Amino acid sequence: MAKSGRFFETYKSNLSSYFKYLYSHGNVNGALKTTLGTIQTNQKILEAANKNRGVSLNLPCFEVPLLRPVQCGADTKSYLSIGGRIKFDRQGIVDQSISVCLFIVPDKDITASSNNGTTDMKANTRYVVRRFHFDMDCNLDNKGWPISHIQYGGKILDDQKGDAEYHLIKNIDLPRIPSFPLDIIQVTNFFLHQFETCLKKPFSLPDWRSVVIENDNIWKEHYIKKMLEETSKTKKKTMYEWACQPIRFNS
Amino acid sequence: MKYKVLFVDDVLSGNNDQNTIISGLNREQNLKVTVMHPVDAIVNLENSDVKDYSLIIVDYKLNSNPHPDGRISKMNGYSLTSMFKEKLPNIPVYLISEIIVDEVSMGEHYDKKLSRHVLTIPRGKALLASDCEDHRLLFDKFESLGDSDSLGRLLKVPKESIESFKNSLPIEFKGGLSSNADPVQDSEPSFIRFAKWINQVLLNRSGPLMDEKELAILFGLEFDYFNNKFKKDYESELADCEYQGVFSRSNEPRWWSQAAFNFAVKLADEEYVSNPSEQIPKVLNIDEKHWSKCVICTEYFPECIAFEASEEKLDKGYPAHWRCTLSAEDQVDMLGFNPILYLDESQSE
Repeated sequence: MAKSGRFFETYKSNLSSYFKYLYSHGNVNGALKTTLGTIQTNQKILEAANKNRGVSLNLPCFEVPLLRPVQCGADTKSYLSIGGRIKFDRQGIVDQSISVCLFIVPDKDITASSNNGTTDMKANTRYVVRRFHFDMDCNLDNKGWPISHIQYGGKILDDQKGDAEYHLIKNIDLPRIPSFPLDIIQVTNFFLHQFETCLKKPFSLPDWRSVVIENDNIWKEHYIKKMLEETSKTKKKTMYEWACQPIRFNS
Repeated sequence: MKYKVLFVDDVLSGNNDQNTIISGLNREQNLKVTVMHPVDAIVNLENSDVKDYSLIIVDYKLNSNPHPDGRISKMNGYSLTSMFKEKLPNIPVYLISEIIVDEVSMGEHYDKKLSRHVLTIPRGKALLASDCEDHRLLFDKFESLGDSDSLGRLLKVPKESIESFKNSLPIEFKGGLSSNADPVQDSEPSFIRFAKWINQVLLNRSGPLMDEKELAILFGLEFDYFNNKFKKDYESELADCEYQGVFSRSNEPRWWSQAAFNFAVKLADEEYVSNPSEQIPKVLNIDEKHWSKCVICTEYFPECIAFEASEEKLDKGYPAHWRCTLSAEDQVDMLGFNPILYLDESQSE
């Protein structure tokens, strides 16, 4: 039987390590500079959260330029932006919304006929060309979608959008693709591994890997193990149906 | 207990200014100051009398005035302090000067540099006495300070701040002071270097401890309101977070950051712990005109104190968002401490 508050304590400490890591490496390369104030505040919030209170964090949007920019009939400046918010408490309820965008700024006008699968784009204008949402909705009673899911497109944070052109249609929330919990640590990890940025090296070091491994273990213990145990007990429930059930990460 | 202080100067008599300083210091209950010509001080270096002093003060500007017996010391204030530090490594050496502007500063070849003026005012005299006491405490205890926890206890670090304090410790002090045998720095004992680190870094840089301005912005308030009202309303709670360890009496007050942050979270009293700087002014119904504001973008709730890039001295900090600042490119990161930030005037509205 899991001890009450165990998820809260381990997750709090793991997130604290994440912010410590961002902070120390953000200092070195300056890529995260605009967010360092919030990163530091978040770490102190995690330290301050006591027995009776949950944690509510603003995950500041950090934006890193791609070293291999998107090619689409023009040279571009391309950026990856990661941000969002997370709330979690001692009952193991996680309410998370993480938004990742890929922005490009073409250096010349592009027409739809350029054979690159693009729409018309104006030179020196910022466009959101990909957007993903990584959510955990423990706090909602069963609404018929997976608690932990990924969306493409959908509503975008005002801060993150800024003055960029966004044509992915805000009100298409579907599908919510079921996934195992992809929190800010998992998301930061796989995006920075797949895209070439100046952060690739610091986010491959052993100290960073140990933060991710600790995070892996938390989700293995509180999600994957539970899913395997519970879905093997019955043949009447699909894995998708299990993923749509309310979950408390504490038990 | 009286602390013996050796004052090394080549102006031994006939100087009213200096006589006033010495007699003023000697009126302090726990100080006994002896003036010695550099020639005598050098001769007496191996003498046990000199070794008994708690503190040595050297005048930076020696005037080549001869000893009564006619001998002249060719050493200047800097070389004398270096020599004292080498020959008498257990005794802190302070340099005083008329020509320096700062009341107190620090450097490589001395433990503190004081303006001559500061020794004439009550704060300066009290500073000497309390520094003697604090140096003695470190000297008496350093052999029993065998790990970072014992250093935490010595500095009275509250439990909330112990982790950030340990993170900020330089590698040489992580194992305490007793086992310290750094072959490169072995001429300077660990407790003297630790005293210097406390004065130069811990009580001077933003990190595990914060200054009054940082404390004000933690509570989301502008300085005047914080000082005139808030600080009085929450005097005892803030006192619990205040630094009370060695050298606290000879430095501006500072507060343990995480302990103060925890108090701020408690004060905000929200079900979910979030950013207290934004919550407190609203929860306490404080008029918006008293909320802290960034001097660059003029938006509320800045997170740090930054300096004007044109100012050489870092004594006047302004509230700013981290995003509205720049850090000096040649700055060496100090683990556990914030970089020194400068206002990014290019973002000014």
